Amino acid sequence: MITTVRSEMVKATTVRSVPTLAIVAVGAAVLLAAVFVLSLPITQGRTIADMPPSDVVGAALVGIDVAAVVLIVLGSLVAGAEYPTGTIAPTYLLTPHRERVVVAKAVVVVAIAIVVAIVAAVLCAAIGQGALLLAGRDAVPVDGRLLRTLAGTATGPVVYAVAGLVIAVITRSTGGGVAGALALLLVPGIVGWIDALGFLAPLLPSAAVHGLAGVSQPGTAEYLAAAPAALLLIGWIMAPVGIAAWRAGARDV
Amino acid sequence: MITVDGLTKRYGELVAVDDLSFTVEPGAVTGFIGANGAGKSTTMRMVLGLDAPTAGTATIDGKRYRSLARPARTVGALLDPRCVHPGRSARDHLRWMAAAAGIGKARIDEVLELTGIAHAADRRVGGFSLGMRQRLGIAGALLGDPEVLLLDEPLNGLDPDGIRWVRELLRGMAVQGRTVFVSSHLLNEMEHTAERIVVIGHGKLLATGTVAELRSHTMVLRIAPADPRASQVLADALSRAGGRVEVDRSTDSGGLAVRGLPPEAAGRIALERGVALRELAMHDRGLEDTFLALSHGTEPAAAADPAARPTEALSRGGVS
Repeated sequence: MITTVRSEMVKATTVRSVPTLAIVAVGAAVLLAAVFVLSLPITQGRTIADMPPSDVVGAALVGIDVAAVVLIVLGSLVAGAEYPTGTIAPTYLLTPHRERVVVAKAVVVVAIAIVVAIVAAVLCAAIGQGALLLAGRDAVPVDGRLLRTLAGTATGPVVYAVAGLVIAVITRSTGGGVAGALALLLVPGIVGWIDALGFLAPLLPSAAVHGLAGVSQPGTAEYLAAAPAALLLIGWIMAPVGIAAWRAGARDV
Repeated sequence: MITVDGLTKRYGELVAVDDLSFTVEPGAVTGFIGANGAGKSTTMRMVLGLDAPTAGTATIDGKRYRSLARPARTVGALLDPRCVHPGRSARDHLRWMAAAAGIGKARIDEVLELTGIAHAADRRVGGFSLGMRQRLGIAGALLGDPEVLLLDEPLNGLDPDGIRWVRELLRGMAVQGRTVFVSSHLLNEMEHTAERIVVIGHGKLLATGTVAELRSHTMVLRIAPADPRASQVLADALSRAGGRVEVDRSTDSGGLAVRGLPPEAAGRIALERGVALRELAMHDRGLEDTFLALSHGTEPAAAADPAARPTEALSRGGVS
């Protein structure tokens, strides 16, 4: 298994697209965070100095969502690029236990996504803090609560990147992975609009991410405490990877 | 050794490979010949566990590919030289393969040198010619220094020097006692490369045997007695010796067309019967004509393997 992970990591780091996307994800998150923070007086009708500091940092952390979108593309490419280039055949020849390949790809995507998401989260939060300082306010204290928010928020891009990977394996297409994972990203919004689907809210990856970040409020439809949120997040990573591994092993290449 | 037993692959109504059975022995280069769409690549993919057979089995040293403990060190395979990421360098392509197989980096330099692409090792594969991609694919197949080599059309895109290099490489591997199985549509080239041949058409086995055996069945020995009246006596004697004899009735020359007997044997029979000859010549149609004859069913197939079809191919003798 270690050799397969190592091989997949070599693959990911020896093409331009993956490192480029990782950098783009961070850059885009920072850019979007800056745009959100700078536009707060317009969108909220208040100056930054008049807003609760946690709201300013929270607005900056929305930049993570664009990192999630870019990481969806990255995750989808890690699997999807194997099919048009044909490298999936030598990959399965060298590792005939195909489930190992899928798991190794997931490990690589998770590793890259965690690093990218944490860097992006820290930089986005720094932009929020900087805006507060520039507005003459005190920065949000760097305490357990803020760190939990950053860490929890950073899990979002990871789970969506894995979703892109998994759907790309199943559809054998980068485009399929991107489209499928973007659809998953939009599901919470749709569920929020339709009352009859409210029961789905605590089952979605967004509920796990918000629960881990501690930003969902008790009594709301999607609220989860940290422990069930962690279990749900693990489930959202493990179960799809398991399904993709099974599908990869069952089909002709 | 590669053993294919009753291998069948259906795609809905289409039968791509139909109850195929043959073996590929170590110590010789075995060519795999068939027209486009005959089922060669599908067969190779099933041997390598990439495609699941509808029926039958394909094993390597008695094990299915997916059961091999160290597949890269057991089997080296090249299915399609285009199976490379164009944005990756040749060295990096081999790096991920070596990592997957647990092979050290030193071996990467060895196979790059061996395949003659060391000078281009750090160039992106997207700029490679088909011939260079073939060499890279072969480098990948050789990474694990495998006991079994399985290459699908490795001669495509190679220049004459490259073809000669591949031929010598394959023969060298076979001499070392390895199992070498190579498909090609370059039949005359395969004639110079392979010692044994497996011929398939429409997914079915047409013939298998040594190149000489296959060719011998489409080689025609032209014999003409000096006295046309001796033609029938000679024909009977040659037939009894195992030759398939046709009497040329288009002229009164008494000429005979004989298959399945070497010229030395035919000459000796004529001598024993006291028949003076005016012509004794072997007409060799080559492997390409042999293949075409087998594919179109215009000649009985030669077959050294009892599993080969059609079974009439094994029959000899008789005067027609």
